[in-house]
Amino acid sequence: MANIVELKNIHKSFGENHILKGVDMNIKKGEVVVILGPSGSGKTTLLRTINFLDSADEGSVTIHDFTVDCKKHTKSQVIELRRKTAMVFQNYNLFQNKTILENVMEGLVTVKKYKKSDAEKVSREILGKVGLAERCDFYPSQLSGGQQQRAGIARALILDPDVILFDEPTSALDPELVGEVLNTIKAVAQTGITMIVVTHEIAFAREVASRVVFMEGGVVVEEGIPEEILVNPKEPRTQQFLKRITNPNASDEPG
Amino acid sequence: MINFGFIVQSVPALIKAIPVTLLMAFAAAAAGWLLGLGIALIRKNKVPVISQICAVFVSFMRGVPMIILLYISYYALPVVVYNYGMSIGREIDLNAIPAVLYAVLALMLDQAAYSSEIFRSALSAVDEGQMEACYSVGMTKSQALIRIVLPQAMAIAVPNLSGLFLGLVKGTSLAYYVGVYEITATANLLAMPALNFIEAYVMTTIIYEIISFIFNKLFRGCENRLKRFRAGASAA
Amino acid sequence: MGHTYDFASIPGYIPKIMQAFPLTIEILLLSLLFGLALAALVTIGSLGRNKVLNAVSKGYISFMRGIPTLVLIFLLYLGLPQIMQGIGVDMSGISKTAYIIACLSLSSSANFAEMMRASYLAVDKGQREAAYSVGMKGFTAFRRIIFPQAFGIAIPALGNNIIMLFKETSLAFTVGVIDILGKARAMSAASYGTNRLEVYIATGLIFWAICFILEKLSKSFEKAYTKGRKKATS
Repeated sequence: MANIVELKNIHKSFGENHILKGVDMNIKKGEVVVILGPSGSGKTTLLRTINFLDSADEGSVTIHDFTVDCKKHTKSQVIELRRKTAMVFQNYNLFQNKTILENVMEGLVTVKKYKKSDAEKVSREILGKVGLAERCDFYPSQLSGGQQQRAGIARALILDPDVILFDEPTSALDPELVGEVLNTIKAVAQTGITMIVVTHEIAFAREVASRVVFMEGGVVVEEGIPEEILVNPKEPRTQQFLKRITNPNASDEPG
Repeated sequence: MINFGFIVQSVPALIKAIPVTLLMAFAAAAAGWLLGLGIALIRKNKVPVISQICAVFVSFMRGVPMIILLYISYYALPVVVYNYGMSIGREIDLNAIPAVLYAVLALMLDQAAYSSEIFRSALSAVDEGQMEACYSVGMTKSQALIRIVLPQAMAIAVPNLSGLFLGLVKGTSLAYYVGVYEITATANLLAMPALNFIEAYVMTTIIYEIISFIFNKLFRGCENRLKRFRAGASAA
Repeated sequence: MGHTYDFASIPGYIPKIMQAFPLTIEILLLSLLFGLALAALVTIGSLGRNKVLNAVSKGYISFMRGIPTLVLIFLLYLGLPQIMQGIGVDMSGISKTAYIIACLSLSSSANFAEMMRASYLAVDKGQREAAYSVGMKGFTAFRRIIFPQAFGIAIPALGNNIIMLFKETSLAFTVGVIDILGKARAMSAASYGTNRLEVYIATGLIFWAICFILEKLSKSFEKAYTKGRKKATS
């Protein structure tokens, strides 16, 4: 099967800081790729270069046969690329001036040009699926972090993108709220949609990932199926990282 | 020592002058704030050259007293208009231009400068993640601005805009000096013949206080409506 | 109506107008002094426990913020003597400059009071508690702990308010005081208005320059003050 996402030789610097040093990645339709790595390894930056929230200095991004050159691209190319993706943010980033329902409808109405009534109907359905049917008319500030993040997932899902990018979706949550969000993400994963997830949740990675990528120092150190990478990593850097993160003192198992 | 007959006689004339004051304020605020928003966006996006010109304009407007701006507008604008008329081969009768136009121009430019600073800080106060979220669902920059960023920035800006508007209403009293018969000028005109100053100015003060009270309340209401999405607002 | 202007003459007017600069500065400094003193009283009233004083302070601020300075000037300069004469007090001995200083003190005091109140309330509550915890008494805690912090917070607003007050001194001409703008008007009148636009632009440039300097001073003072704080605490 053809690749749905292809990253070629992605380089990115912030000033003097060379964050990404030539990353290649091919992802097939329906794959759930979990990116692990210590902070500063460039995993979040990599995710953000895919939808050009940070545009890479070098390389190219291809999504569903649409390729954008990172060095020279037009605004309209970037917008077209973004319309093939959706993102779930660490801090939810729900539109603060819109209700939960309006948040989910927003992309459908402004970008996909749905009729308002149609958009509302499907939005309510999807909010029901993430367990927020009762919260449609609330503003983000009136919801818990977990509820906000589930709405964020609904907002991404409804666009029916080729790939959903998850940027540390549970890192900002209180520990007792992590579980509900992870369960929602698991449910999404089972629908067969392509996902790239940056996270620190090892147990989650083991359960849902079809592939785990370990990054450090701006390069991919090792990748493979979860059993390989998480149980028998070959690279010492991966072993070290896993030892540190599975240390009981730093544990944040989903509840 | 208080001439009550004068008060009774003058009230209608003073009330008739209220719309002049309010119209000047509305016109200056509407045009000025739109211009101010434009300046804020230009400066926020660091548009080369125009951005620097805007910065100088804002600094000038903030440094020069309203009364001097009014004089400059009053004496400079006719020349511009006249020369423009001549360039298209028509002699424009400058007496036909109402004085209120000069006043509104000066007030408007002043509002543009001050409001641009308010909008600029309000735009910066909107979380950057909001813009990113817009991009992530595929919106263009202008869609993001209009639908998400500006509504939030407005809610942040309203308290300061409220103060700016109340200052503007007070500033319109200076239009007296370029010959506009707004409230203050009317009061002066009424008071002069029999030197009924205390009566005229107490009434004027009361009118300004009432206007300021009403707009204060209106802006408060507006503020509450606009920030209904903030935490602590009543649940839906 | 002269339709040609001589903009090259503008710099030449500046020294002449600046002859009135000392008077403008005098008005500014005295209004600032009285305005701040008045504001301090109002702030004490608004922050204290006395409900009546709270209401009076609040009413005063709201009243002063509602009335245009020009109307306040007319009210005091033209209206007040009329009333006082009625009760047998002659106010004709008071100078025009004194009237202007009184009006500007009153109108600026409301802004200063709001600034003081906001800065005072912005100081973390824990600071006062900490001061008490080491055994300081009420006024000592205010003088040594609260005030220095509130002052630091107030500097930007103080700078802005002083600039606003400086701009408002331009209203002195309305009662015939020959301040900067009064001088400019006199010069314009002396030439029968032929050079008025140039003169007013020159006056505008003077105000702009002085405001620019005031703003820079305020910024560097703020920097120096907060830097001093950091050194003191580290």
